[in-house]
Amino acid sequence: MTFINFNLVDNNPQAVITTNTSGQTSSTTANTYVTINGSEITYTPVAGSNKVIYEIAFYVQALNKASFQNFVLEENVGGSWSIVDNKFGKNISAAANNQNVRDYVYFRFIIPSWSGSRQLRLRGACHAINRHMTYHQMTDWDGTGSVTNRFCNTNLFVYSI
Amino acid sequence: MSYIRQKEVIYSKESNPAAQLIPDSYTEITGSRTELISLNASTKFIYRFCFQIGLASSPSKWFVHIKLQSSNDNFTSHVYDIPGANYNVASDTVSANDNLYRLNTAFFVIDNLVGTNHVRLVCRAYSNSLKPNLHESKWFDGIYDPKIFDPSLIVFEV
Repeated sequence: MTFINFNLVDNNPQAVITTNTSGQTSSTTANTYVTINGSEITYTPVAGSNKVIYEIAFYVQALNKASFQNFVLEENVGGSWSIVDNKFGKNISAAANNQNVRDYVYFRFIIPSWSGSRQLRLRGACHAINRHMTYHQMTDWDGTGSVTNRFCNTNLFVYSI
Repeated sequence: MSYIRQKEVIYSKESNPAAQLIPDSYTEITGSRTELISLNASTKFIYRFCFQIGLASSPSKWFVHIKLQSSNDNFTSHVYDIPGANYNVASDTVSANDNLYRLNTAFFVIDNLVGTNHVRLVCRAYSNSLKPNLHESKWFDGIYDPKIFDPSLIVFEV
């Protein structure tokens, strides 16, 4: 018997690079979610698949402040967006005053598969007023501060198994 | 003539690498380099590299710039920064030491490479007073007991 091992992820893999040219600031209002630029995708799982894997990486920053972000994965079913499941929520923070966050966030969600086309997106919000962060833009680079032209791509990879 | 070309899949893991004290000039991260063979610019690769960032002996905080590079001569002379594949990671206290250890995942989608290329991850400290130590945790099981974390790399073509 002969097997041909094409790939680990041959089930309709979708890999997307989004070039960011500006910072994206999350809402300063508590529990007001914004969609992470580059996180939205329309995806059709392969027939017979059990799971859809959604992997995303993007940059977050908050300087000299208390910050907190809750991220949720949402799906659009029949024209209406909703959270896939609250148990998939992910938090990051530096919640005391005068703290910094500089991080490249990498999340992987493994969710039940479905039939047909569906949109997915990642949303972020703070849990309390003014705990916002900025996405995609770095204000320090190559040992210099107050940089205004350095951005990080959003990297997204979705496939079904 | 028709043929089946198997897609490229690369796995590698360092075994007990030396800790890297990162200076304020760009330094290749051990275990991050690999060769990619691409038939055309539309071919995409998923690059996922996991490594440990931690404290040097002093100070007890750190701040690094990290970027992905490519080369068509294995970094002999032609070295290119991949646009937008860059980020900062830092410990989070403004003024005091914060003793942060962190596992970091560099996850990128790579395209626009044609032919045989190498890619690698490089990093530098923001300044000489914010140098991190890679791959090593100095404390384990509640005592001072330096342990090496083996960085691992998975790259595959999609």
